[in-house]
Amino acid sequence: MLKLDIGIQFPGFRLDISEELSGGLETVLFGPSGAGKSTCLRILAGLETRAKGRILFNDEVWQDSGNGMFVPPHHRAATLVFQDGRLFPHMNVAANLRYGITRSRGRSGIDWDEICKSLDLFPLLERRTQNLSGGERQRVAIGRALLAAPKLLLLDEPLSALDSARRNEILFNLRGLINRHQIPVIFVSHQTDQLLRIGSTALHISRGKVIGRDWPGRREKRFTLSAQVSGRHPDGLAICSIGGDSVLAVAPAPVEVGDKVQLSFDVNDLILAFSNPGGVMAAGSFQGVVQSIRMTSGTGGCRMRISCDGGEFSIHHPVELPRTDAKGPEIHVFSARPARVVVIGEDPNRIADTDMAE
Amino acid sequence: MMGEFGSVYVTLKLAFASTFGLMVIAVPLAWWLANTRNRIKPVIEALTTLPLVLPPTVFGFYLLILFSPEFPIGSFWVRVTGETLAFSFAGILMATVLHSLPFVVQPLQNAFESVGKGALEAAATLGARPLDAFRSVAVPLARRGFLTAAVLGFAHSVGEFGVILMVGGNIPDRTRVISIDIYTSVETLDYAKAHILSAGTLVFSFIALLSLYIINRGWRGRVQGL
Repeated sequence: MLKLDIGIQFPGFRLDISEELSGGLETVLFGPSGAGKSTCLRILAGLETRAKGRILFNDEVWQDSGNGMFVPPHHRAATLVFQDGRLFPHMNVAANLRYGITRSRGRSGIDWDEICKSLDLFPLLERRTQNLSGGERQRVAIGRALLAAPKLLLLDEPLSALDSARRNEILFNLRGLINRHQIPVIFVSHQTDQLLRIGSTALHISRGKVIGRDWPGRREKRFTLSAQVSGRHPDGLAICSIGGDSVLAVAPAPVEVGDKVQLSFDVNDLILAFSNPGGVMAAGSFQGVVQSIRMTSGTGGCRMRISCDGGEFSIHHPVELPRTDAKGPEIHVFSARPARVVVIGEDPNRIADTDMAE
Repeated sequence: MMGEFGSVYVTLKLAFASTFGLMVIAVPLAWWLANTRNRIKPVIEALTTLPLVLPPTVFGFYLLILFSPEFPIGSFWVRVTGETLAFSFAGILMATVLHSLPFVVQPLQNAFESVGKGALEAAATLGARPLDAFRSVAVPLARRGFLTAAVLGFAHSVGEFGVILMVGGNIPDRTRVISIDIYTSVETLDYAKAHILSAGTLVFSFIALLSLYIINRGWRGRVQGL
């Protein structure tokens, strides 16, 4: 968990961010260039000595200006991957990768072979850093940061120099690594990246302020759940299973029975029922558990957080829910239209780079 | 007595000792100058560059005054060693170090500035303490600056004349360096000795500078990966 209440002022620029990040492993800071995203990462890493405020990471205080406390970057177990990589020009790739290992302050158990394989670094090890391409540099920089065994990984536009196929593959492998080792990550992205959207918390930053806590536009009306392909529908749709229930889904790329997929749903397609009405004609249905119901101030509606076998999502209901309707925590979810397959399986080359906005 | 060429011995001893002293003082000073945002930075920069523009006689004159037992440095030296700082080897060593300072500080400062903050920040976020980052990143990236600084410091110490004459006089085997020896030889019409010492100094200086440029060129090629 990361709690921050930070501020910094440059001539003509002011940043004030107060947030508590306790959700999933991935957080994406996005917004226009010059919004203060990179500055925010620099403050977290401890590179901005002029920053004021408090930073609390799990039970460690990294900064508390009120009490004159400032933990220097080498004592924070946060590693920042700079946009330009910042590889050491006097060392080859292998020496760059090794730099953080001997100096790691955090966890151990991140394996050399695992990192080199995931990021495809083996062919680069003996190369000098000067003749690496932009994408190769970024991969080495990410590997170097991970090998330093950080407790928090900060990535400043880490994939900007990669072409899209390579980008999908590296992001996929990077996610595998951070999930396996449970390393929280904060990405900075100026593009509202399709792939970054999935499974991450978003902070929309503009002019040094957080102006939104979700992905912008229509896309926030969608959410994703994981499912498994269980069959093919004669219409060409994939039949997917979420906890044993069936959901039809449009698959833009061919899928096979047994494939693990990520399904994207439109909240406007959903109908919820607290007890099973039976005989509902829907493109999909599955069961979930209501985790929380929160009245939304002003609009008279409420926001429900629902978990199911495929993951969690939240949905806004425009009418206040009479408490008597909530018989129990179980809820039946029906989708009027088929869902869409957005990521296929664990093979990164089979990512269906679908425009979820249609 | 060291014989006829005692001045060569004094000069080499002076040059090695002062190069060592220069590096000890100039490395932290140049590092500080390259990284500080302190308001007094221009003052320190001006002070270290002063020997470059002052006539050696002016510089030497003030040092001579400073070294006299009426001033703290001079009296301290007399108390500790029993002899005066002026007209001693220690005196000309101190004078040479101070007078050569800009030749060593400036290449180092330039080199440290060109290393830039980027690589050091990367090192810090990877867990390197400041001294570790300095040793493992700044020094290797600034090695051309180190070489240039050491060679210039050494060569300038070898060529020191005016300041040593003012502070150290012309005492054989103690403060008589090659440059003063040449001057004295010419004054006493010993042209043969002046020729030998001059030619030796010329050849030595040329070789020192030549090796500096050759080594620097090799390093530049390696760093750019050509």
